[in-house]
Formats: sequence, structure tokens, C-alpha cells
Amino acid sequence: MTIRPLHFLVTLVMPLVAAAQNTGTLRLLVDPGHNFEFVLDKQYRMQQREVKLGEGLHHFAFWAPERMIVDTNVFVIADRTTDFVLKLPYSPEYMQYRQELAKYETKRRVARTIPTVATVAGLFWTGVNVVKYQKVRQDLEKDQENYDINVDPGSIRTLKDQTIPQHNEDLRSARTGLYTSISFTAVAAGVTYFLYRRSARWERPTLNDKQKVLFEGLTWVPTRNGGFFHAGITIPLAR
Amino acid sequence: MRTIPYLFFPLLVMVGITGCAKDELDVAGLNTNPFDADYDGPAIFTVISTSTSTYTVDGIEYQRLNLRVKVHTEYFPRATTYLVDQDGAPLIASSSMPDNELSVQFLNVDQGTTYCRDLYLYNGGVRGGGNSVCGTAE
Repeated sequence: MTIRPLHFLVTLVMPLVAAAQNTGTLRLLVDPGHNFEFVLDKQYRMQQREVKLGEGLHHFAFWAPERMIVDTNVFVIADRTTDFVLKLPYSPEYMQYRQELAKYETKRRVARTIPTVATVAGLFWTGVNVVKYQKVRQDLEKDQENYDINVDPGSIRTLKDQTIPQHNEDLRSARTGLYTSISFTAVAAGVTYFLYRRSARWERPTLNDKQKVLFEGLTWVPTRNGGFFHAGITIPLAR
Repeated sequence: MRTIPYLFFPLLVMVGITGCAKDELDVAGLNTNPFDADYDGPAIFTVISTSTSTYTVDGIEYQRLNLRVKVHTEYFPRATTYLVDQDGAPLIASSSMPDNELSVQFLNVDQGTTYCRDLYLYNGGVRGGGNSVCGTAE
């Protein structure tokens, strides 16, 4: 209720003041170009790229998300359009946040990618060993069929003394390889599952934008239908 | 939690393969082929008849034991030509045995004595399975 008289006073006085002096236009070329805000003369919070102001020195406090507040004074020349170029530097909190976020994402990517790749490789390895195992088993089945229809004592002797023992050895070797690859795959799958669950609980870094808190002080925001006071408060809900 | 069933997949594969796994071939158990020197099945050669006859050399009379032997080709894995090795005596080709029977002779035998000879299947320069055939001179 105490705001209304002040609102009325400002609404009444501002046009009179503006009409009483010559105005100039200030084009704001601020990096980042899309979402910066500024507080004019420590009173009016605005978000636009061009302002008409009375001639003279005006104070600006520029800010954009993830950037630092930059305070500066600009002299507005009457009846002229002036370009004001400014690059808002990244805030130290944002830089730290980016580092922590990059570290977090790298850690999570490694924790998930390596065991996943190991599991996929294990499955591939198991597949290769299954094929190899099946081939050796087929060789032995062919040996049995060969024995059953063979009428050459010499080749039967070769089959029993050399070919079948060799294929038996190949089968044992293939079975060992198959069990090894299956065990490896099972362990890798278990580790993958564990790390996916675990990394899902890792806390993602959050940006504590102190510059935003500073910027969102109590300011007057003019609009076409009047204006309002803007009070900003930041509550870190993530914790 | 939905991932858990997938973890059992490799285990199931292992169990499946183990369950269906055929053991290595037991070489010692391979003895059913008559052309295998380790053949251990029904006799390939069996005596179907025995007779004793006399023969004369330089005026001296001797006894001869004749065995008629059947070659059981029904035990062969497939129809084939073959040779019979008489353990030192000349080889006999299957082409000379249209009825798969051969004669085995023992010369200068004594009455009442049993005589035996080892016969083997023979192919490709190597002996296969075989057995003894015996007969008693009368």
C-alpha cells in the first residue's frame, strides 16, 4: 500500500522531466546479445536493446545469466543514436561451475562408458567363442561320422591317433575360452549395472549465481501499463 | 532393477551350453568299425563248415584241414571291396569271393588237433579288424 503514492509520483513526474530535456538514443550492443538485463540509474530494471534517455550521464549496471555485473556510466548525447558495446565477462562462480560440471560429466562418462564397452566387448568375445566352440563340436561330429563310414584302416588309424585327439584338445581349449569370456562378460555386466546405479546418485554440480542475487535487488521495472518493484530471491532447491 | 534379468543372460548361455555340451570323443570307445584294427564287435569271420582230406607229396600221404569261412559284410559300414589277410598267407581279394566265402587250409594236420588262423580285413596296405577261425582235423 505504501508503493502506490511513489508509483503515482514517478508516473506523473517522468514524462514531465523527459519533455523538459532533449533526449538521445543509446543502442546497447552487449555480449551476450539475447538475455542481458540492466538497471538504469540504480532504479529501473530493463531488458531491451535500445533506450531513449535524457542528455547527460547515466549509470548502468549490466548483467546476464552466468556473467558478472558490470557497472558503468554512459553519457547520452541529445538527438543522436549512440552504440554502446560491452562484453560481459563470465562470473568466477560460472567458470568454477563449468569446471566442476565438466569434471562431473567426464567422471560419469568414464564410469559408464568403460564398463559398457567392456560388456559389449565381452559379448562379442563370447559370441566369437561360441562360434569357435560350435565349429570344433561340428568337427568332432564329422570325425564320428567319418569313423562310422570309413573302410580304410589307414585313415581310421590316422583319425584315431591324430585327428580326433587334436579336435578333443581344440574342444577343451574352446570350452575354456568360452567360459572365460562368459565370466568376463558377466562381471563386466555386473560392474556396469553397479556403476550406472551408483553414478545416477552422484550429485550434479549446480550454479550458485551470486551475481544474479546481487543484481536482483529491489528495483523498479517500468512497463507500458505502469511498473512494479522487483524483488529477487534465490533459494538453492537442489540441496 | 530391470537390468538384473539381463545379467543372468550370460549365465543362462553358459548353463545352456554346458547342458547341451557333448563331451570329447572317446577314442578308446571307437571300436565298432570292422575296418578298425581295434574292432571289438561280432566276429567278422565265422567258420561255416570243416572238412579233412588227404593229399600226397612224394608218395607220402598227408592230412589237410579245410575251413569254409564266411565274411560278414553285413557288419561293414557300407558296401565296399576288400582284401582278407590270412596272417602271412597270400591276400584274398573280395572279387574272388562272390558269395563272400573263402577257404582256409591247414596242411599236414594231425587228427583230433584243433588249428586256428587269424584273419584280418585289409585295405590300403593296412590291416583292419579281424578274428581267429579254428577247426579240428578229423
